[in-house]
Amino acid sequence: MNCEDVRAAFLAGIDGPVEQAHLRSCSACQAEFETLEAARGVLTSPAVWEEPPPELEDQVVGLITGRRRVPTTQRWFRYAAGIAAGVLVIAVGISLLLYRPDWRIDMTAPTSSNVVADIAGWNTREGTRLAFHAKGLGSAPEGFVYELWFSAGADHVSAGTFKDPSSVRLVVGVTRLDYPHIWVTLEPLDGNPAPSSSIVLETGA
Amino acid sequence: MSTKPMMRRFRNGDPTAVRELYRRYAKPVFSVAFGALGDRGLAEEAVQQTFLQAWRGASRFNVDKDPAPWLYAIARRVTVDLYRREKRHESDRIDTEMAVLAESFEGTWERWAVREAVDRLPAEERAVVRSIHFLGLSRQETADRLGIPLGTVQSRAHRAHRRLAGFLQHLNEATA
Repeated sequence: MNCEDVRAAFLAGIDGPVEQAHLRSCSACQAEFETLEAARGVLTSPAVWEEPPPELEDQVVGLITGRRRVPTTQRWFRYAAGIAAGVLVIAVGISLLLYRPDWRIDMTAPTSSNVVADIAGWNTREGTRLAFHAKGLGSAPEGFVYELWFSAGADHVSAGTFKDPSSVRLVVGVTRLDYPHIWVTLEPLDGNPAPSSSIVLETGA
Repeated sequence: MSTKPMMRRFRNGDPTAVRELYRRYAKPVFSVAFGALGDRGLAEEAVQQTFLQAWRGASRFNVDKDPAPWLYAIARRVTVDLYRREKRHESDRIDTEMAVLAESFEGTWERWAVREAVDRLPAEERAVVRSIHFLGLSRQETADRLGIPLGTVQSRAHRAHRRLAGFLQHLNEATA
């Protein structure tokens, strides 16, 4: 019996004397054993066998492609789009000047005095719209992102992640009134949803 | 098969690449969300949000890399956010329960990887594996249920488990 046959047997739940004898003498299969046992457990889970509904594909594709226009190569369109973008930038600039935030606070870096950052919030029915700016803080290194958190005690709500901290727009489904502590962490892209201990910016309570 | 051309088009905003990416990864995303949340409706919402966030963040994706860990990280984060939102709706009280994830969040990467591996099996082998592991049937019961000879079940089961063990080898490499 070779390694592939033994591993197939373990995954299938067959664990006889032949497989055990191989396992005792094969370090490579020993290293695989726990992974295969865990995978066998996962194979019993309904989540592995449930299918998303077929109509979800069109819903997702429609939802996404409706958000961004496909670029066209026609020159007249490029000019028109350029003019429209210019008008939009001016309109947004004016509206930002007129539209004051409901609150704005400074953030400090626990480990550096060279970083200057602030965050402004507009209260909405759904939560809070945010504008965050930082100077002196470089882009997150490869494999990491910054993450902005709203916290109340041990309850942390992520407002989102970003690589470049110089100017960020975010939306969070809570308010500063309920979640007074706002902070930024450097997060490894490891899938762990909890905040890391690497705090790069924070506000007072 | 390389995902590089698809991811390059996805990053450049090509809508046809959205469908390709969906067909390749929607099931693992659904498995992660459904396994953690236990609700089909919420799992469907998680699928939508995951692909939407991937689309929004695609310009920062390195097409030379495997998109699976990147999409998985987005899917898990979206699922956590949905879990916390639902917990918040269940109770107005702010307590530590909302900050602590359920046990269903353990092993989500394994769930993703196993789903991806199962989906790569030929349909007839997948049916045998499903019958043995999910339905808990013996080889003989599987043969009766699928209407095929016992020997065919045994050979398909062996081939399928060999393939699955090979597909899942990266799990051990990732944790080694």
